[in-house]
Amino acid sequence: MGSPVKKIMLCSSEKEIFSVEEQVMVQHSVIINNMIEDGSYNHEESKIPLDCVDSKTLKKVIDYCTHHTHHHNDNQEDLEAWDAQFLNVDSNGLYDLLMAANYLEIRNLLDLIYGTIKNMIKGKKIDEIRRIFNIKDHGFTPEEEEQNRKEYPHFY
Amino acid sequence: MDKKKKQQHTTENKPKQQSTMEKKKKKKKKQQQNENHKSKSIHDILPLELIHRILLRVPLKQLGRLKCVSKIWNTLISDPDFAKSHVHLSAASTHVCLFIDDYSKAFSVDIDAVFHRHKSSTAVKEVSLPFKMKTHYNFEVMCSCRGLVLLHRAPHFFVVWNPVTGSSKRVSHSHIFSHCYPKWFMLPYGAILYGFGYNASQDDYLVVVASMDKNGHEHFDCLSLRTNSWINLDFALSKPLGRNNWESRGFFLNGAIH
Repeated sequence: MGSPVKKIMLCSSEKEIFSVEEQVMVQHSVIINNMIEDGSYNHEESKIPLDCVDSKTLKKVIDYCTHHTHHHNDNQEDLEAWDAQFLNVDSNGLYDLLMAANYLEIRNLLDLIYGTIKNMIKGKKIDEIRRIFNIKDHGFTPEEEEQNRKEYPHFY
Repeated sequence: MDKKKKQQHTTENKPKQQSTMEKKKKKKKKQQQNENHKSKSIHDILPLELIHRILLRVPLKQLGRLKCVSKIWNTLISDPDFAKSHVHLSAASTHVCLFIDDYSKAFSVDIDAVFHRHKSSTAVKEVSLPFKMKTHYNFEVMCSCRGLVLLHRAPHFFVVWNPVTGSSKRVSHSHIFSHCYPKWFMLPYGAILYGFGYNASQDDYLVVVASMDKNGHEHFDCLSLRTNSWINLDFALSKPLGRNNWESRGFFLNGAIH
Protein backbone atom coordinates (compact mmCIF):
# COMPACT_ATOMS: atom_id res chain seq x y z
CA MET A 1 0.00 0.00 0.00
CA GLY A 2 1.24 3.46 -0.88
CA SER A 3 1.33 6.27 1.62
CA PRO A 4 -2.17 7.46 2.55
CA VAL A 5 -3.48 10.47 0.68
CA LYS A 6 -2.80 13.62 2.68
CA LYS A 7 -6.01 15.30 3.75
CA ILE A 8 -6.86 18.71 5.09
CA MET A 9 -9.91 19.84 7.06
CA LEU A 10 -12.12 22.68 5.96
CA CYS A 11 -14.75 24.07 8.29
CA SER A 12 -17.86 25.73 6.90
CA SER A 13 -19.80 28.60 8.47
CA GLU A 14 -22.14 26.02 10.04
CA LYS A 15 -19.05 24.43 11.65
CA GLU A 16 -19.41 21.36 9.49
CA ILE A 17 -16.06 19.75 8.75
CA PHE A 18 -15.05 18.59 5.29
CA SER A 19 -12.03 16.42 4.75
CA VAL A 20 -10.43 16.98 1.35
CA GLU A 21 -7.32 15.73 -0.41
CA GLU A 22 -4.66 18.31 0.23
CA GLN A 23 -3.43 18.17 -3.35
CA VAL A 24 -6.88 19.06 -4.68
CA MET A 25 -7.15 22.28 -2.69
CA VAL A 26 -3.49 23.24 -3.02
CA GLN A 27 -3.72 23.01 -6.77
CA HIS A 28 -6.75 25.26 -7.03
CA SER A 29 -6.85 27.63 -4.10
CA VAL A 30 -4.10 30.22 -3.84
CA ILE A 31 -4.99 30.86 -0.20
CA ILE A 32 -4.82 27.23 0.86
CA ASN A 33 -1.65 26.71 -1.14
CA ASN A 34 -0.06 29.60 0.75
CA MET A 35 -1.22 28.26 4.12
CA ILE A 36 0.28 24.85 3.42
CA GLU A 37 3.47 26.28 1.99
CA ASP A 38 4.21 28.66 4.84
CA GLY A 39 3.49 25.95 7.39
CA SER A 40 0.58 27.73 9.06
CA TYR A 41 -1.54 24.60 8.62
CA ASN A 42 -0.82 21.82 11.08
CA HIS A 43 -2.02 18.47 9.76
CA GLU A 44 -2.46 17.05 13.24
CA GLU A 45 -4.86 19.60 14.61
CA SER A 46 -5.64 22.45 12.22
CA LYS A 47 -8.95 23.09 10.55
CA ILE A 48 -9.25 25.87 8.04
CA PRO A 49 -12.18 27.99 9.15
CA LEU A 50 -14.20 29.36 6.26
CA ASP A 51 -16.67 31.47 8.18
CA CYS A 52 -18.16 33.11 5.12
CA VAL A 53 -18.75 29.89 3.18
CA ASP A 54 -21.79 27.77 4.00
CA SER A 55 -21.76 23.96 3.80
CA LYS A 56 -23.76 23.75 0.59
CA THR A 57 -21.41 26.12 -1.21
CA LEU A 58 -18.28 24.59 0.26
CA LYS A 59 -19.38 21.16 -0.92
CA LYS A 60 -19.79 22.51 -4.44
CA VAL A 61 -16.42 24.23 -4.36
CA ILE A 62 -14.78 20.99 -3.24
CA ASP A 63 -16.62 19.12 -6.02
CA TYR A 64 -15.29 21.56 -8.55
CA CYS A 65 -11.70 21.35 -7.37
CA THR A 66 -11.83 17.55 -7.10
CA HIS A 67 -13.27 17.11 -10.57
CA HIS A 68 -10.80 19.47 -12.16
CA THR A 69 -7.89 17.78 -10.40
CA HIS A 70 -8.83 14.26 -11.43
CA HIS A 71 -10.21 15.03 -14.87
CA HIS A 72 -7.85 17.69 -16.11
CA ASN A 73 -6.83 15.40 -18.95
CA ASP A 74 -10.38 15.03 -20.22
CA ASN A 75 -11.11 16.68 -23.50
CA GLN A 76 -12.13 20.30 -23.46
CA GLU A 77 -15.71 19.64 -24.52
CA ASP A 78 -16.36 17.20 -21.67
CA LEU A 79 -14.91 19.60 -19.15
CA GLU A 80 -16.99 22.47 -20.50
CA ALA A 81 -20.12 20.34 -20.35
CA TRP A 82 -19.33 19.40 -16.76
CA ASP A 83 -18.74 23.07 -15.87
CA ALA A 84 -22.04 24.08 -17.44
CA GLN A 85 -23.86 21.43 -15.43
CA PHE A 86 -21.95 22.45 -12.30
CA LEU A 87 -23.06 26.09 -12.64
CA ASN A 88 -26.66 25.19 -13.28
CA VAL A 89 -27.72 26.85 -10.00
CA ASP A 90 -30.00 29.75 -9.11
CA SER A 91 -28.56 33.23 -8.98
CA ASN A 92 -28.10 33.12 -5.20
CA GLY A 93 -26.16 29.89 -5.53
CA LEU A 94 -24.03 31.57 -8.15
CA TYR A 95 -23.31 34.59 -5.93
CA ASP A 96 -22.39 32.28 -3.03
CA LEU A 97 -20.01 30.36 -5.27
CA LEU A 98 -18.51 33.59 -6.56
CA MET A 99 -17.86 34.85 -3.05
CA ALA A 100 -16.38 31.52 -1.98
CA ALA A 101 -14.15 31.30 -5.06
CA ASN A 102 -13.08 34.88 -4.46
CA TYR A 103 -12.32 34.22 -0.79
CA LEU A 104 -10.34 31.06 -1.52
CA GLU A 105 -8.82 32.58 -4.69
CA ILE A 106 -9.73 29.75 -7.03
CA ARG A 107 -8.88 31.46 -10.27
CA ASN A 108 -10.30 29.07 -12.82
CA LEU A 109 -13.59 28.87 -10.93
CA LEU A 110 -13.68 32.67 -10.74
CA ASP A 111 -13.14 32.92 -14.48
CA LEU A 112 -15.88 30.38 -15.05
CA ILE A 113 -18.38 32.29 -12.88
CA TYR A 114 -17.49 35.69 -14.31
CA GLY A 115 -17.92 34.22 -17.78
CA THR A 116 -21.32 32.81 -16.85
CA ILE A 117 -22.55 36.10 -15.42
CA LYS A 118 -21.21 37.91 -18.46
CA ASN A 119 -23.29 35.62 -20.66
CA MET A 120 -26.35 36.26 -18.48
CA ILE A 121 -26.04 39.96 -19.33
CA LYS A 122 -25.15 39.51 -23.00
CA GLY A 123 -27.71 40.95 -25.40
CA LYS A 124 -30.29 41.55 -22.68
CA LYS A 125 -32.47 44.61 -22.31
CA ILE A 126 -32.22 46.63 -19.12
CA ASP A 127 -35.55 45.46 -17.74
CA GLU A 128 -34.43 41.86 -18.23
CA ILE A 129 -31.08 42.49 -16.56
CA ARG A 130 -32.85 44.08 -13.60
CA ARG A 131 -35.05 41.04 -13.31
CA ILE A 132 -32.14 38.59 -13.58
CA PHE A 133 -30.23 40.34 -10.80
CA ASN A 134 -33.37 41.17 -8.88
CA ILE A 135 -32.59 44.87 -8.90
CA LYS A 136 -35.80 46.50 -7.69
CA ASP A 137 -34.31 49.68 -6.40
CA HIS A 138 -32.18 50.97 -9.25
CA GLY A 139 -31.37 54.16 -7.36
CA PHE A 140 -32.17 56.59 -10.18
CA THR A 141 -34.58 59.41 -9.48
CA PRO A 142 -37.82 59.12 -11.48
CA GLU A 143 -36.59 62.04 -13.61
CA GLU A 144 -33.26 60.37 -14.36
CA GLU A 145 -34.98 57.09 -15.20
CA GLU A 146 -37.39 58.85 -17.51
CA GLN A 147 -34.56 60.74 -19.14
CA ASN A 148 -32.62 57.50 -19.75
CA ARG A 149 -35.67 55.77 -21.17
CA LYS A 150 -36.28 58.69 -23.49
CA GLU A 151 -32.68 58.93 -24.57
CA TYR A 152 -32.04 55.22 -25.09
CA PRO A 153 -35.41 53.57 -25.76
CA HIS A 154 -33.69 50.62 -27.49
CA PHE A 155 -31.91 49.73 -24.23
CA TYR A 156 -35.18 48.93 -22.46
CA MET B 1 -61.40 40.75 -16.44
CA ASP B 2 -64.07 38.37 -17.64
CA LYS B 3 -62.20 35.46 -16.22
CA LYS B 4 -62.03 37.11 -12.83
CA LYS B 5 -65.74 37.71 -12.81
CA LYS B 6 -66.38 34.14 -13.73
CA GLN B 7 -64.18 32.92 -10.94
CA GLN B 8 -65.93 35.11 -8.41
CA HIS B 9 -69.19 33.82 -9.61
CA THR B 10 -68.28 30.16 -9.30
CA THR B 11 -66.60 30.58 -5.93
CA GLU B 12 -69.68 32.25 -4.53
CA ASN B 13 -71.71 29.27 -5.55
CA LYS B 14 -69.29 26.74 -4.24
CA PRO B 15 -68.00 27.65 -0.83
CA LYS B 16 -65.93 24.49 -0.57
CA GLN B 17 -63.95 25.37 -3.60
CA GLN B 18 -63.52 28.85 -2.26
CA SER B 19 -61.76 27.65 0.81
CA THR B 20 -59.31 25.53 -1.15
CA MET B 21 -58.69 28.42 -3.45
CA GLU B 22 -58.00 30.70 -0.54
CA LYS B 23 -55.65 28.16 0.85
CA LYS B 24 -53.88 28.00 -2.47
CA LYS B 25 -53.71 31.77 -2.55
CA LYS B 26 -52.28 31.86 0.93
CA LYS B 27 -49.77 29.20 0.02
CA LYS B 28 -48.81 31.15 -3.07
CA LYS B 29 -48.43 34.31 -1.05
CA LYS B 30 -46.23 32.52 1.39
CA GLN B 31 -44.14 31.13 -1.41
CA GLN B 32 -43.81 34.56 -2.89
CA GLN B 33 -42.72 35.95 0.44
CA ASN B 34 -40.15 33.21 0.73
CA GLU B 35 -38.90 33.88 -2.74
CA ASN B 36 -38.68 37.58 -2.06
CA HIS B 37 -36.73 36.89 1.04
CA LYS B 38 -34.52 34.36 -0.65
CA SER B 39 -33.72 36.15 -3.87
CA LYS B 40 -32.26 39.41 -2.73
CA SER B 41 -30.88 41.92 -5.16
CA ILE B 42 -27.34 41.42 -6.44
CA HIS B 43 -26.49 44.69 -4.69
CA ASP B 44 -27.51 43.30 -1.30
CA ILE B 45 -25.44 40.16 -1.70
CA LEU B 46 -22.28 40.84 -3.62
CA PRO B 47 -19.71 43.34 -2.40
CA LEU B 48 -19.15 46.25 -4.78
CA GLU B 49 -15.69 44.99 -5.56
CA LEU B 50 -17.10 41.82 -7.12
CA ILE B 51 -19.78 43.67 -9.09
CA HIS B 52 -16.98 45.91 -10.34
CA ARG B 53 -15.02 42.86 -11.49
CA ILE B 54 -18.07 41.41 -13.24
CA LEU B 55 -18.59 44.67 -15.12
CA LEU B 56 -14.94 44.75 -16.12
CA ARG B 57 -15.50 41.53 -18.05
CA VAL B 58 -18.42 42.86 -20.03
CA PRO B 59 -17.54 43.84 -23.59
CA LEU B 60 -17.31 47.54 -24.27
CA LYS B 61 -20.25 47.31 -26.63
CA GLN B 62 -22.65 46.59 -23.77
CA LEU B 63 -21.29 48.94 -21.13
CA GLY B 64 -23.31 51.93 -22.31
CA ARG B 65 -26.50 50.03 -21.73
CA LEU B 66 -25.38 48.70 -18.33
CA LYS B 67 -24.92 52.26 -17.11
CA CYS B 68 -28.70 52.58 -17.10
CA VAL B 69 -29.33 49.40 -15.06
CA SER B 70 -28.76 51.04 -11.71
CA LYS B 71 -27.14 54.02 -10.12
CA ILE B 72 -24.50 51.78 -8.56
CA TRP B 73 -23.53 50.24 -11.90
CA ASN B 74 -23.55 53.69 -13.46
CA THR B 75 -21.16 55.02 -10.82
CA LEU B 76 -18.86 52.01 -11.19
CA ILE B 77 -18.74 52.20 -14.97
CA SER B 78 -18.42 55.98 -15.14
CA ASP B 79 -15.37 56.00 -12.90
CA PRO B 80 -12.35 57.05 -15.02
CA ASP B 81 -10.32 54.24 -13.49
CA PHE B 82 -12.90 51.77 -14.72
CA ALA B 83 -12.26 52.67 -18.36
CA LYS B 84 -8.56 52.30 -17.79
CA SER B 85 -8.88 48.88 -16.17
CA HIS B 86 -11.37 47.80 -18.80
CA VAL B 87 -9.07 48.67 -21.68
CA HIS B 88 -6.24 46.99 -19.84
CA LEU B 89 -8.18 43.81 -19.23
CA SER B 90 -9.77 43.53 -22.64
CA ALA B 91 -6.57 44.43 -24.46
CA ALA B 92 -4.76 41.81 -22.46
CA SER B 93 -7.33 39.12 -22.99
CA THR B 94 -7.81 39.42 -26.74
CA HIS B 95 -5.44 39.80 -29.62
CA VAL B 96 -7.34 40.97 -32.62
CA CYS B 97 -5.94 42.13 -35.94
CA LEU B 98 -7.85 44.17 -38.44
CA PHE B 99 -7.42 43.56 -42.14
CA ILE B 100 -8.81 45.76 -44.85
CA ASP B 101 -9.30 44.04 -48.13
CA ASP B 102 -9.35 45.98 -51.33
CA TYR B 103 -10.68 49.08 -49.57
CA SER B 104 -14.13 47.62 -49.55
CA LYS B 105 -14.19 44.99 -46.82
CA ALA B 106 -12.72 44.80 -43.35
CA PHE B 107 -12.14 41.67 -41.33
CA SER B 108 -11.19 41.25 -37.70
CA VAL B 109 -9.07 38.23 -36.98
CA ASP B 110 -8.90 36.91 -33.46
CA ILE B 111 -5.36 35.60 -33.23
CA ASP B 112 -6.07 33.53 -30.11
CA ALA B 113 -9.01 31.80 -31.74
CA VAL B 114 -6.98 30.92 -34.82
CA PHE B 115 -4.85 28.66 -32.67
CA HIS B 116 -7.76 27.31 -30.65
CA ARG B 117 -9.11 24.07 -32.05
CA HIS B 118 -12.77 24.70 -31.27
CA LYS B 119 -12.89 28.36 -32.04
CA SER B 120 -10.90 28.62 -35.25
CA SER B 121 -14.07 28.78 -37.32
CA THR B 122 -15.14 31.96 -35.52
CA ALA B 123 -11.74 33.61 -35.71
CA VAL B 124 -12.42 35.72 -38.78
CA LYS B 125 -15.36 38.10 -38.74
CA GLU B 126 -16.32 40.68 -41.27
CA VAL B 127 -16.80 44.13 -39.81
CA SER B 128 -18.59 46.86 -41.66
CA LEU B 129 -16.65 49.96 -42.52
CA PRO B 130 -17.94 53.26 -41.15
CA PHE B 131 -19.03 54.63 -44.50
CA LYS B 132 -22.51 54.81 -45.87
CA MET B 133 -21.49 54.52 -49.49
CA LYS B 134 -20.76 51.09 -50.87
CA THR B 135 -17.68 52.29 -52.65
CA HIS B 136 -15.18 52.97 -49.96
CA TYR B 137 -12.21 53.55 -52.14
CA ASN B 138 -11.37 57.02 -50.93
CA PHE B 139 -9.97 56.24 -47.55
CA GLU B 140 -6.67 55.43 -45.93
CA VAL B 141 -5.94 53.70 -42.66
CA MET B 142 -3.63 55.98 -40.74
CA CYS B 143 -3.02 54.38 -37.39
CA SER B 144 -4.69 52.84 -34.38
CA CYS B 145 -4.72 53.41 -30.66
CA ARG B 146 -6.37 51.43 -27.88
CA GLY B 147 -8.86 49.75 -30.16
CA LEU B 148 -9.73 52.85 -32.17
CA VAL B 149 -8.65 53.18 -35.77
CA LEU B 150 -7.91 56.52 -37.39
CA LEU B 151 -8.98 56.65 -41.00
CA HIS B 152 -8.56 59.41 -43.49
CA ARG B 153 -11.45 60.03 -45.81
CA ALA B 154 -10.98 62.17 -48.89
CA PRO B 155 -11.16 65.03 -49.37
CA HIS B 156 -10.56 66.33 -45.86
CA PHE B 157 -12.00 64.24 -43.06
CA PHE B 158 -10.64 62.15 -40.28
CA VAL B 159 -12.81 59.27 -39.22
CA VAL B 160 -12.16 57.74 -35.82
CA TRP B 161 -13.63 54.28 -35.85
CA ASN B 162 -14.21 51.61 -33.25
CA PRO B 163 -14.44 48.40 -35.29
CA VAL B 164 -15.90 46.48 -32.35
CA THR B 165 -18.84 48.71 -31.60
CA GLY B 166 -19.09 50.02 -35.14
CA SER B 167 -19.32 53.59 -33.89
CA SER B 168 -17.40 56.31 -35.65
CA LYS B 169 -16.84 60.02 -35.60
CA ARG B 170 -16.03 62.28 -38.53
CA VAL B 171 -14.00 65.44 -38.11
CA SER B 172 -13.05 67.84 -40.84
CA HIS B 173 -9.48 69.06 -41.17
CA SER B 174 -10.19 71.44 -44.04
CA HIS B 175 -8.40 74.31 -42.31
CA ILE B 176 -5.11 72.43 -42.56
CA PHE B 177 -5.92 71.54 -46.10
CA SER B 178 -6.54 75.16 -46.98
CA HIS B 179 -3.20 76.51 -45.90
CA CYS B 180 -1.21 73.79 -47.62
CA TYR B 181 -0.34 73.28 -51.21
CA PRO B 182 -3.72 72.10 -52.35
CA LYS B 183 -2.27 70.16 -55.19
CA TRP B 184 -0.12 67.80 -53.26
CA PHE B 185 -1.49 68.05 -49.78
CA MET B 186 -3.44 64.93 -49.33
CA LEU B 187 -3.34 63.11 -46.06
CA PRO B 188 -1.75 60.85 -45.10
CA TYR B 189 1.03 61.36 -47.61
CA GLY B 190 1.07 65.13 -47.51
CA ALA B 191 1.72 65.54 -43.82
CA ILE B 192 5.21 65.84 -42.44
CA LEU B 193 4.13 63.56 -39.67
CA TYR B 194 1.00 62.57 -37.86
CA GLY B 195 -0.02 60.49 -34.92
CA PHE B 196 -2.96 59.28 -32.88
CA GLY B 197 -2.66 58.88 -29.16
CA TYR B 198 -4.46 58.68 -25.86
CA ASN B 199 -4.05 61.16 -23.06
CA ALA B 200 -4.90 59.28 -19.90
CA SER B 201 -4.90 62.33 -17.61
CA GLN B 202 -7.70 63.94 -19.63
CA ASP B 203 -9.22 60.70 -20.91
CA ASP B 204 -8.93 62.16 -24.36
CA TYR B 205 -7.83 60.90 -27.75
CA LEU B 206 -5.64 63.22 -29.75
CA VAL B 207 -4.72 63.40 -33.40
CA VAL B 208 -1.63 65.43 -34.20
CA VAL B 209 -0.69 66.59 -37.66
CA ALA B 210 2.40 68.47 -38.73
CA SER B 211 2.17 70.06 -42.15
CA MET B 212 3.90 72.62 -44.30
CA ASP B 213 2.19 75.52 -46.04
CA LYS B 214 3.00 76.89 -49.47
CA ASN B 215 5.41 79.44 -48.02
CA GLY B 216 7.43 76.68 -46.43
CA HIS B 217 6.17 77.39 -42.91
CA GLU B 218 5.50 74.42 -40.74
CA HIS B 219 2.28 74.03 -38.81
CA PHE B 220 1.40 71.78 -36.01
CA ASP B 221 -2.24 71.03 -35.21
CA CYS B 222 -3.83 68.87 -32.60
CA LEU B 223 -7.37 67.53 -32.59
CA SER B 224 -8.98 66.71 -29.28
CA LEU B 225 -11.74 64.17 -29.71
CA ARG B 226 -13.14 64.94 -26.31
CA THR B 227 -13.83 68.55 -27.12
CA ASN B 228 -14.06 67.90 -30.84
CA SER B 229 -11.88 70.87 -31.58
CA TRP B 230 -8.60 71.67 -33.26
CA ILE B 231 -5.87 73.42 -31.37
CA ASN B 232 -3.04 75.12 -33.21
CA LEU B 233 0.29 74.30 -31.66
CA ASP B 234 2.60 76.17 -34.02
CA PHE B 235 4.23 77.84 -31.05
CA ALA B 236 5.28 74.43 -29.78
CA LEU B 237 7.50 73.89 -32.77
CA SER B 238 10.80 75.11 -31.43
CA LYS B 239 12.84 74.00 -34.41
CA PRO B 240 11.85 73.07 -37.92
CA LEU B 241 10.80 69.50 -38.36
CA GLY B 242 12.14 69.45 -41.88
CA ARG B 243 11.15 67.19 -44.66
CA ASN B 244 13.60 64.55 -43.57
CA ASN B 245 10.96 63.12 -41.30
CA TRP B 246 9.19 61.44 -44.17
CA GLU B 247 9.93 58.05 -42.76
CA SER B 248 8.26 58.73 -39.44
CA ARG B 249 4.77 59.05 -40.83
CA GLY B 250 2.26 57.10 -38.86
CA PHE B 251 3.30 56.16 -35.40
CA PHE B 252 0.96 54.96 -32.75
CA LEU B 253 0.96 55.01 -29.02
CA ASN B 254 -0.16 52.14 -26.92
CA GLY B 255 -1.88 50.74 -29.97
CA ALA B 256 -4.27 47.86 -29.52
CA ILE B 257 -7.40 46.63 -31.12
CA HIS B 258 -9.80 45.16 -28.62
